[in-house]
Amino acid sequence: MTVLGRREPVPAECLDELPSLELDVSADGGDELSRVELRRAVLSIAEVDHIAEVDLVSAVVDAMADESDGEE
Amino acid sequence: MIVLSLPAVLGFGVAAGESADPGSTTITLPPGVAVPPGTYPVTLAVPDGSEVVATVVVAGEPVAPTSEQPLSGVATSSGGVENAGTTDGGGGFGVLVAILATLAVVGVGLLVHRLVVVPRRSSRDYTGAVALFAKHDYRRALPALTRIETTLPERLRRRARFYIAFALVRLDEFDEAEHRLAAVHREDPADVDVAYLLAYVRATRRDYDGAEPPLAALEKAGGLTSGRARKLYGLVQYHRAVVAVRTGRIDAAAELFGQVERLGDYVDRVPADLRNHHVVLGARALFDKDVVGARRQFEGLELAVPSLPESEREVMAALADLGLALAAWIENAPGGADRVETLLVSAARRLRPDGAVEAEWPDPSAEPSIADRVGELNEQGEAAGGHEHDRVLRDIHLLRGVARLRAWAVNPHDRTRERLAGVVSGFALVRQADSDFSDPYLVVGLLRYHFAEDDQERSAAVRVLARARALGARDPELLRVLNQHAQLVRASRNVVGSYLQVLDQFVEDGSISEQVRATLVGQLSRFGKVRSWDQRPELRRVHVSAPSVAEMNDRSRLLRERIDQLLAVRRDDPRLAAAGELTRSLEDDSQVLLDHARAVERKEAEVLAIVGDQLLSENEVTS
Repeated sequence: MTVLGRREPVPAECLDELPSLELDVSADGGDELSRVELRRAVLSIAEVDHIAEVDLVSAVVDAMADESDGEE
Repeated sequence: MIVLSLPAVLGFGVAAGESADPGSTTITLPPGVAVPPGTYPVTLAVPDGSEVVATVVVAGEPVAPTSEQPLSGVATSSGGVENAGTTDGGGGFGVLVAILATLAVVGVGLLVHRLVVVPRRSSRDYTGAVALFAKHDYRRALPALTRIETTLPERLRRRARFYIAFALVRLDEFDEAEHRLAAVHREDPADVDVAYLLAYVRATRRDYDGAEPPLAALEKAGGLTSGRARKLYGLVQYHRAVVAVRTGRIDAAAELFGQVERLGDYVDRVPADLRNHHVVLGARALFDKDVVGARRQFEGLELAVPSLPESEREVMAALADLGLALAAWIENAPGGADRVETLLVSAARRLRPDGAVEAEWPDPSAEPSIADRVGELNEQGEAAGGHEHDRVLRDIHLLRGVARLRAWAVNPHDRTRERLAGVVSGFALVRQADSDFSDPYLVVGLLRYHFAEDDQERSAAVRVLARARALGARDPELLRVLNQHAQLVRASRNVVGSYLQVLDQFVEDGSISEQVRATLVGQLSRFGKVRSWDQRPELRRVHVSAPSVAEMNDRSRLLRERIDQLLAVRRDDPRLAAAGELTRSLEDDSQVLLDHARAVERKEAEVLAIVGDQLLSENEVTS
């Protein structure tokens, strides 16, 4: 609070002292919100993440190795 | 009964600023009590604890009142006197005048006390209490303010009520704070500070519906110029919108999110697709893996596109393509990859008609500099809605790349380089859309690492993977590859050091002909770590001596062992296969040399034996 000498603090200065509230919608069903946002949920809907990507790379590498073994 | 009517006195005990009660003060003597003529001191106790002392003078002969008619008098506001009962007509007038005069003095005293003394004392106490706010001493400030609240002048009293509520908030007394704030807000809805604090308390308690009315009043009173109030209003409306979504009130949610956008603080968190029911319901169906339901919604959106405002048509058509592509992706039917690719390309072209749908992965040296990134950000800022489109385009191209990868895993027949190029192309577009997104670096790095044909390609792939890690990727496979590569690099550094030691020993060995040593140094001195013959004057001072066969064999064996050790860490490197062959050949040659040396020794012995037999036998005969 900004108080100069004995000057009475004005209400606005008091209000500035209050901690600002953070937007947290998890308790209000924030998950539900992401379910209506198609353009922001492409990868969630497709279930594409690092794990899925690495699994696919491994699947390709294994498939190519099997293919090479078959040719030999 | 005599009633004294003194309006100035009758206001006594009423809070400042309020109108005086037009009642009366009655002085009644008990039945049977007479007041003899004379002078009487009177002490009046004031509700605030102070006292007023005055004197009452009773003139004339005493009269004993009856039990039913106590002695009393009335002074009218006009100063007149009414005879309200049995009085002593002789001295009554004089008595009344004296009482009136006395009470007038008392009234003036009380008035002065009320208008001057009490406010001055309250103001002093108020100043002291408010000073405690500067020290954040709300525990002391709160009772001090509460005690004097009703005695303060109007302006200070309203301010005091705010401070009391604020102190209660700081002391986590939210129930009492809200109760007081609500009362003050009802009295003056235009007080923006009270409205804000009331909304703040309710929002803190997650009562967002309760927080909205004071914020609406605050906006009406012009109080939204404060960023603090605007942000709180945005937060409250955002929460209300989320609840509306959760309870299926899509229209209400859209309106509330519209207000959030107007308020401006949480724009980037407002769902952009809420204005269209097809998109909302289609997205829900996709999350629920309800492919049929999703198709129905997105095909419905396709049909509805022509009736939409022109500014929305292309985006909505793109979302319809995207929704249908995701339905095909989830369905994962045989041959569905082409359908997914076609729909995703269509969506990308609708969102950015001039955007590329294929790209080359850039050379590692072409990674964007900080200046390039700043330029990119500026361009994005200039393009309205560009950021939003970048995000969805990025995800569209990522899904294209992953779809190609999935199709490749299912059908891994030939054309490896071509398939690899196709997948990498998809991810190159992801990188273009968001160069700080780790996914394309992860996938492209791993693919290039596994399909690298030489160390150079493998090292380039590792650089791409290192970028993925720098952007936050922590997948175990990524870390395994990076660790493995780091170990190889360390081992390679050790191998080079060991090799240089072997080389030095060889070229400094005087038992090897100078021509051989000079030729070897000349051949390797194109590398920075090997000095040329001219740069090594010590080699010219090497004492040259012909080696024995044993020395040659020992040297050769030692060299072979050390070369074998060096090659062990690069066992799979085809370019070192020739060195392995030569090492084995050297071993054979050394064995041949040893065998020949043994043969020479044997032959030498045989020669000595033959010659000795002959010469020594002749000598023994002659002697």
